[in-house]
Amino acid sequence: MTYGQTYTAYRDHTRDVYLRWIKGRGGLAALLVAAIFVAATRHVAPLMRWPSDLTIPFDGWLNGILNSIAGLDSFGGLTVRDATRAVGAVIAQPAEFLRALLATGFTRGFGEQQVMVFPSISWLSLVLIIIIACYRKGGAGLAAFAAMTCLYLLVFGLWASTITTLAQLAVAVPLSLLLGFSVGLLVFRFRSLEGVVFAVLNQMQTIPLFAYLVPIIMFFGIGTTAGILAVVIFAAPPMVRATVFGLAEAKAQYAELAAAVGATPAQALWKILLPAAQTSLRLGLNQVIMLAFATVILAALVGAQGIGYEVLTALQRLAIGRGLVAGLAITLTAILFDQFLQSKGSPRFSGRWIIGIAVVVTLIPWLLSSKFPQLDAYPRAWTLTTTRGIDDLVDFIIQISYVPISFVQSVLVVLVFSPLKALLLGLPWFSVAAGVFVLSWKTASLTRAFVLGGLVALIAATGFWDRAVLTFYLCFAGSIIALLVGFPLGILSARKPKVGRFILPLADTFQTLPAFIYLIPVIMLFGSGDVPCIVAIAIFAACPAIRYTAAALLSLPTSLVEVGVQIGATPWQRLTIIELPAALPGILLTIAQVALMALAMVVVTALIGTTDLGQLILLSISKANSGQALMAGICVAIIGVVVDGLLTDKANQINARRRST
Amino acid sequence: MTRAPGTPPAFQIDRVWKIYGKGADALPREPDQLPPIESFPQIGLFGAVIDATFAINRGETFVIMGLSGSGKSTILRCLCGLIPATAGSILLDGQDIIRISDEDLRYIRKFKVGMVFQNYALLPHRNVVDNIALPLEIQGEAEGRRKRRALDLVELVGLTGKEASLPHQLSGGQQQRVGIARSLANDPEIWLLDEPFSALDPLIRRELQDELLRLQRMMKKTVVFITHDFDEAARLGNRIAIMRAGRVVQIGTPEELILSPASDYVGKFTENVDRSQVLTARAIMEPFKQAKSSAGEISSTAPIASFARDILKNRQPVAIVDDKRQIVGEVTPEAMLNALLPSPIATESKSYVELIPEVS
Repeated sequence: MTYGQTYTAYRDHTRDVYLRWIKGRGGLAALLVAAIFVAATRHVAPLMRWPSDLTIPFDGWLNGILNSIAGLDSFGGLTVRDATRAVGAVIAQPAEFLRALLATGFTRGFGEQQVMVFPSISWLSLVLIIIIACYRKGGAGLAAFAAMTCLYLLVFGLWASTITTLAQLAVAVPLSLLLGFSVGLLVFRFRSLEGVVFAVLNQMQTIPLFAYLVPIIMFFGIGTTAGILAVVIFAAPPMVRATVFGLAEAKAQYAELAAAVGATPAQALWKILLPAAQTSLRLGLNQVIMLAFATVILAALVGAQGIGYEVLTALQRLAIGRGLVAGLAITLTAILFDQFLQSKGSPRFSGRWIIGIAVVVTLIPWLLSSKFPQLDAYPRAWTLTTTRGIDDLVDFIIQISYVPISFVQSVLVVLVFSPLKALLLGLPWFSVAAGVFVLSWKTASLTRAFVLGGLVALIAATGFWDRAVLTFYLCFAGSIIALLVGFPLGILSARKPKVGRFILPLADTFQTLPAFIYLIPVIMLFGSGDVPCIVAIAIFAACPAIRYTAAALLSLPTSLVEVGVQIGATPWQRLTIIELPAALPGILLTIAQVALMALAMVVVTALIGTTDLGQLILLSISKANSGQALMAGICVAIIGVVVDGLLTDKANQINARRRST
Repeated sequence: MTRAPGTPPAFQIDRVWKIYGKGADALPREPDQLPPIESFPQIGLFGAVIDATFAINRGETFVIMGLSGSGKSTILRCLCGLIPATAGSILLDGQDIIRISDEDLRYIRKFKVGMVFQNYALLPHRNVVDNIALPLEIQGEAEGRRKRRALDLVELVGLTGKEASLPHQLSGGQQQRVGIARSLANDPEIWLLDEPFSALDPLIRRELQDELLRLQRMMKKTVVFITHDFDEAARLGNRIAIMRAGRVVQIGTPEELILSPASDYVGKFTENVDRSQVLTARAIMEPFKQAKSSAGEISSTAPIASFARDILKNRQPVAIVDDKRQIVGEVTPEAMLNALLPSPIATESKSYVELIPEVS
């Protein structure tokens, strides 16, 4: 070998080693480039923060548009606002009627002059009907649970508020179903609408509920109607999806049959496709009910009476004992609902029997109530009016937990949360937008990169950048904790079916509880500040973390798991070498789902004091600033869209690569 | 089965094409005006059914068979308009399925045609009786009458006792019995069966084939049956059409297909058939020359398996008689052996894989 050849070989070898080193440290290099880029842009003021005199006044524009719509002459000198308020009054009527019938009785006049015109159905009848219904559908266990829940509500004086909430649901759920089903049918009939409608629905659900409340108030006034409408907006989308999905699936299976028996399009739809889609429709119904229940609690913010109002006032007065009691009432009711909807045991007795029993059970206490006034309204003497025992317990818990918890809290804040917050706030908006752009370009396409990067820039342009960063910070910190808890528990549930049978239903139950009630214990233990918010977010988002992680692992083909066992891998090797890498797309989707749940919760934590977008929305509610509420809501939605978009694109990219090889 | 002169066929399929691809819907209905088939790949078209012409006689069981992708299911769907054919004509009772109005087509499906699907297509929320009654419900039949009819059909297909069961409570074979009963609910003239037994295991399949033969002996409907199994086709069919890559390559009785396959492709299909069960005396007989009556007489419709032992024992030609006991020919031991043990197909090396049509 000549010297020249040796030299060439040596040169090539060094180059290879060098290249391999760079390649192996690609992530490091990228980070370095990013850091330099960030440091550079930090010194360019307009790239660090959007110049305030260039802020685009989206909120003002939105206000202008909404106001001009509201002021539009609809007919005969009436404005649109007058018309919508009239409609609103009508919507509230059935809920008010039900409330009077079931709990408060029909009255006339106000204050001192108030006279009972017609009494409500006896509470005893209602309790019995609930217990019988639960027994019929879910058996003795569910009936016992129902009895316990009713007793709890009665004893703690929460019966009337709960019935009020149920009366609102009784209007909101059918409205949501009707709306969702009609839109679903329309989308099914005109498939070209599907893309647009589903995109709008997705966005509608990412925008926090609070943001809708202000414009709703503007058009429909404060109170029950606004609450019901907010619930409908939030609860209808799952029904649309269930309808379209169920019908599309039924069509794939039964369209030929329908044609072969000569059914007209109407016959095919009503006699064959819709009945065949009923599993999907029923799932949609369940989702609507649970979602409506979770949101009707939040409607308290716009003055809707009910059980949510109890929690809200307790939160505002920092009456933790009362808050816990009301929170537990919501929890019990939610679980009862969930279990009732889930149980599919065969009916215990036939339809005619149930009607007879219901009539007897309703009429007898009603008729007897003239003689025994206790049956009419649950006597105040039988309730626990004070929550002193509970308050003492709360005080005790706070006392014993104060030192350890405040220690942990201080350590976390000083070492983790404060630096993280400072780091995120120190990022120039331009670098963030550029980073999202590059990541999105690498995983998806240039168009997608422009969309996601542009959305980030849009937040900067609204002037809400700092608030948005704080929202992201809370969401990020909460998600990380949720994942730290959720991954191990999810993996454990997937690996050990015995553990899974216990953990997974528990996670599902926690998931159905209204986000609201997580705040109460958290305030009790952590006081105020970032930590209670992050903890509440983490608890709320840990449920999907567990659920989705387990699902991602359980959906792997059995053969893959068997291969691991067969080649003699230890459980840890199986997990790290085979199963987790194989389930990577599913894991990424888990993270996306966790982030979205965390984001939904971030806005709710504004109730216990944050300075982020959520608080801005709450402020807008009190100032009736529709434009600002909507715009802040849209910014929250944008954060969700960008985070979810980046993660889903990555998951899709991995899936596409795996399929192509 | 040859058609009695004078009776028109149930279906007259004349130069039918089904073409998929870009702009296929805008193609002319006249076969002569279609672009040449050689140009299909270039202009992005694909012929799923290519220039099919045949007639299906009243009361016969006509089997269409071929490998998957050969167009057999497509042509069945063209017969009742589930898939609109692109060009040609399909005459049913003087009406052209390709050109009639939706209203007329719906009438035909309601009252004249019944169909059985490979995946059963039972509605999961309806019990056996209500599933069977579905076509009558669509017709607008009163509840009492359709229930009575459905109960009759439950008995007919041997599901007595299962009236109130839901589909998921039934085995696959039972589910397809429900599918069969439903397809008969409107008492159709034409009975279309699309691979009805392909999803069933062999024993159940055999059982349902027997069931089908029994029903067909009772009802004498015009049956169009799709399968990819030659044994099934030979057991059930009076005539078999073999399709390959969209074309009908041969039509004939099972015996004709076995004894004189038009191509290697057809030959491969019939290769492993139990010839002694399918071939009858009529198919292998020669003109009567010398058979002694002492060797006995054999009915012309008897399968070889029923008389092979006798012939080999006597080593004598045997007379073949028709159903009026008239001698119509004779079978020699040599002819019988030639039929049972044919010389191997010339292209022995060709595998199935090479014969499977390329489907894009």
